[in-house]
Amino acid sequence: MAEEVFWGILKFVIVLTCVFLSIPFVILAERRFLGFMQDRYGPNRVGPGGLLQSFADVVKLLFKEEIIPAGADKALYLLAPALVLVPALCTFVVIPFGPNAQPVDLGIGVLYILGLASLGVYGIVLAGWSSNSKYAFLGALRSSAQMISYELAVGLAIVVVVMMTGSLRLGEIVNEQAGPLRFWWAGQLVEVPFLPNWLALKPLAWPALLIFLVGGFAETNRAPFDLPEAETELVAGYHTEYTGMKFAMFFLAEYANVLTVSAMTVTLFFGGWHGPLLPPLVWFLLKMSLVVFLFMWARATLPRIRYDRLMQLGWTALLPVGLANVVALAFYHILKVGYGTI
Amino acid sequence: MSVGQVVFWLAAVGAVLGAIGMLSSPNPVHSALFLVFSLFCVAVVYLLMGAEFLAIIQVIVYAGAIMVLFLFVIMLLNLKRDEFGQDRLFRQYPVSYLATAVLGAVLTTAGLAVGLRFSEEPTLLVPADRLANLLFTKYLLPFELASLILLIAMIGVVVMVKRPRGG
Amino acid sequence: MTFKDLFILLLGPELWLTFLGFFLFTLDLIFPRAPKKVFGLLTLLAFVGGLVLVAAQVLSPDLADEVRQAAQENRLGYWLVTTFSLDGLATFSKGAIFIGAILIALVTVDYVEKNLREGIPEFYGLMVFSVLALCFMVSSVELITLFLAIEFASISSYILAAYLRGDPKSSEAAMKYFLVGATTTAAGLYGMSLIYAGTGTTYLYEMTAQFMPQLGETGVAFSPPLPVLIGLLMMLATLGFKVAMVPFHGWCPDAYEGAPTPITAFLSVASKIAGMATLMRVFASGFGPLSAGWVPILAFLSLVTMTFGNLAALWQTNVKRLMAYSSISQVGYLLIGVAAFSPSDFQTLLGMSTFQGSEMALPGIFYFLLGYAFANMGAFAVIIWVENWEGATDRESFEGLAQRSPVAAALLTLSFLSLIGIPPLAGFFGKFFLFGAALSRGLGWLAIAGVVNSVISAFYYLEVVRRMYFFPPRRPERVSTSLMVSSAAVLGVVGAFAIGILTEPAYQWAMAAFFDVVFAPNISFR
Repeated sequence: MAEEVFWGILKFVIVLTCVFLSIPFVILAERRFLGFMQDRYGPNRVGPGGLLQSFADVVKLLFKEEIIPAGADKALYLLAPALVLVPALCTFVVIPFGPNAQPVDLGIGVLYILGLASLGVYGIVLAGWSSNSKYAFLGALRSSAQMISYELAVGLAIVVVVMMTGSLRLGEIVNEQAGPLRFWWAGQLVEVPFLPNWLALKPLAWPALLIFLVGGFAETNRAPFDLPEAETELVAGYHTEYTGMKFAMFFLAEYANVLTVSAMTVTLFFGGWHGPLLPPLVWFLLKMSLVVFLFMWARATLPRIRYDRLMQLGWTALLPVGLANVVALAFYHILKVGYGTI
Repeated sequence: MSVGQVVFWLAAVGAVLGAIGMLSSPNPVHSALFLVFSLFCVAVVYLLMGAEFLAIIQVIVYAGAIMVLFLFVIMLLNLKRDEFGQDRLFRQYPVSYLATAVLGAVLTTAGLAVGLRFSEEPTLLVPADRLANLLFTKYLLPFELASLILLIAMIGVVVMVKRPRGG
Repeated sequence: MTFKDLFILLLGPELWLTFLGFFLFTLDLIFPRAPKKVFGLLTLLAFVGGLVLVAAQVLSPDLADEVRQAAQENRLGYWLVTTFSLDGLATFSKGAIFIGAILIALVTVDYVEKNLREGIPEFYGLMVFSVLALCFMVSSVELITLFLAIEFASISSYILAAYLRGDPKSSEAAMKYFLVGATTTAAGLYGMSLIYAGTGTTYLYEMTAQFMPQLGETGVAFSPPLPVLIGLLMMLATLGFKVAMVPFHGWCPDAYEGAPTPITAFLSVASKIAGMATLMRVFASGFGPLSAGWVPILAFLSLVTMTFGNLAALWQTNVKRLMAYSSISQVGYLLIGVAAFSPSDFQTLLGMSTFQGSEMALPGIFYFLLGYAFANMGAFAVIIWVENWEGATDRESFEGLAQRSPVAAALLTLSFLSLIGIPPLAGFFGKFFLFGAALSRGLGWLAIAGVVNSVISAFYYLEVVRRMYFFPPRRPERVSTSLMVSSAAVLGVVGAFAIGILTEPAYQWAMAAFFDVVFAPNISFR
């Protein structure tokens, strides 16, 4: 028992350290990419090619003055950054990075991630509320409404994945996607050679993939859905009043969330660590970095969406499409197993 | 004490303290957060019993969805202590304490009479698919009833908040 | 009979109401300009159809055998057997609910046209769904199903009570109704969890089976296990709230006064029938072996309920409020019947001993409920009749009604006489059966209290009658109404008369309903 607990904690610490250490480089990569796409240099002075830029930023933030605004709810003000960062980091313990590289294989892995994502909103809401500042407060209100709305759509997308793979366990979801592409057609199993059995290649999962990606952008408050921190109207949104390392924690959490969504997208739709020739971990990281790149690309390309349009998109487009996808999948299952067995 | 027992007592005491904090906190936002904490602790207790699906649903539905909406409304109304006005129910406080004490005593007696004991092994190891099987076989009728309830609640809300035409 | 036919016959009324409810909700979306009266007529059709389907269930000769056979051969869904029951209790109360619902639908159409601007199709749809919820309530034999059915019925009633959106009283009604309802339902749910902890099952008749051996052949009551008894009492909070029993009556006067009047009628008739039937199902049928634990409590609550209702009604000046207190006191009378239960009745119910005739109170409750439903609907139809014309329900609006509309005044008088319990109207025989059962079970004090209370109740009912006949009218013009409202009033009073005059057949029917069990509470099902 005690041994189990020890190994569990050790795995947890290793994964967290890896994630933590990768975030500065993701930030740097984003800034360089943005620079490239906007036809400028980006940070390239600190270290070779600017590699140490993020560490320099951290050092700078460490020496910043800690400010607690007058009239702030002190306890919650201090608690909020932790409430954002901790759920963001905790998600990584269930992600299967490779065949034997999954710290914990929970029976309800998908729901665990959904649950932690839904807890993450508290940090943002409380940060905005406890700052006693109207900009922060508006950001918090926006954020809670936005995350609640998009959580439903993301949940439906996950239901589609669970229906197609038949498991809530992330490890099994990945295993289901092994081998060549298979699907039922006219009462028999058809195999397509040379194509992997990823959900992203099955037409019935396309709407779910789209919803998951769009919802993932919204859940992480990333452009074009970064309304909670819309700098043109709300200064910096929910973290307007935060300085120093507390601000850094929000920043870290945002990128940790980006990594989570990318890892989830790969796990749920792109076959996880499956791939020919290269070792599994490399495949996983490769696919994941492509999705992370998508996040950066979107930020450089798309303008921020208006708030009412955001709500409209979530409630009147994504949600009905998600429902339709679930229903369509249910009909497909009936066709597959036959009506008589029900 | 085993690890499970330590976690259980932490979660159980946390749940009770959270509930007390929710009731006694003058600030509605703090109250909501105490309730979230309490619900989260209850989820941990479920987890210890081996009901992981129930635990995570508790977190997603109560802590993640319902309480965020509560918090949203509380913040939107932005209630301050002095806006509640004079507390006119103060005469009822002793009665409510008494009633709570009696109810607590009765429920504790009932709970002890059932024969509560600490089990080392998770007793409710029900995987999600077995739960789903029960839901779609034995408890199909209540399941369908629940969907009808949600439907009329939704229709009711729309009817209640819809602005009159031309108004 | 195939499973499909059997399924349709068993769940007929529920399926029909679900279908029509959805139809009403969607019809308005497809044809927004459809005349609103169509929705009212469709609602009426829904309830008439429901009554016909219940009649088909009662009259179909071999349904009982079919069901038994199908259950034995495992052709009937497991889920259906353990959650849903179609015994005499269920069919009889469904019949009574549908009769009440038909009369309510008759009085609703005009009221809606006068008082509602928005959401009319949804109003009718919610009415259909709330009757559907009541049907599930009286049929459910499993705690989770029962809880959800009660919650379903409550939520639709909350919404309907708040429907007069411009009127703060309507909002107050819904708010109080909701708060009391939410609290008592939470208590009931907690009680159910205690019962589950004590018995290890949520199926009502499996619990009965557990307690039966302890009851033994002698029929001597025993003291029940503590958690189950406490759980049962907490469930009494929920059921007491549904039937407006003291001390869970707090919502009743305000909700009755503020809600749209047809909904008030619905709460006092259909909802009450379902609540009483469920109370009987849980206490007399399911937890019959534990009667030593709950009979004294119910006897006491019965006394308190009828006395409180009658005394408070004396001071009311608004007739809707008066009807609220009146209905509280009627629940008190009905509870006499439940309190006059003894474990030997239970053995009779299960066919373990032979029927002993008039000693048994439960058929009396059915009879009383039916008579109450008719008389109360007659009264509410006249109240709506007057309200549609006067726009108010205070006592003054009824002054001189005998000159302005002799028929309405006569119908209201007759309804009130039945509620007081004057022969040959139904109310008299109902009270006769209940008080007689109390006497034969050694609850003489309760019977005497019932008689005294009936005398007290005469004061406030007759006060309204006095105002109708001996006071000058405030305005001279006649009070006229549509055919639907007046026919509802006439039907209510005729029903009260018919049941009163045909006492013997009606009582036999109520008894047969209890014994000719279609879907027996067969404790061998697991």
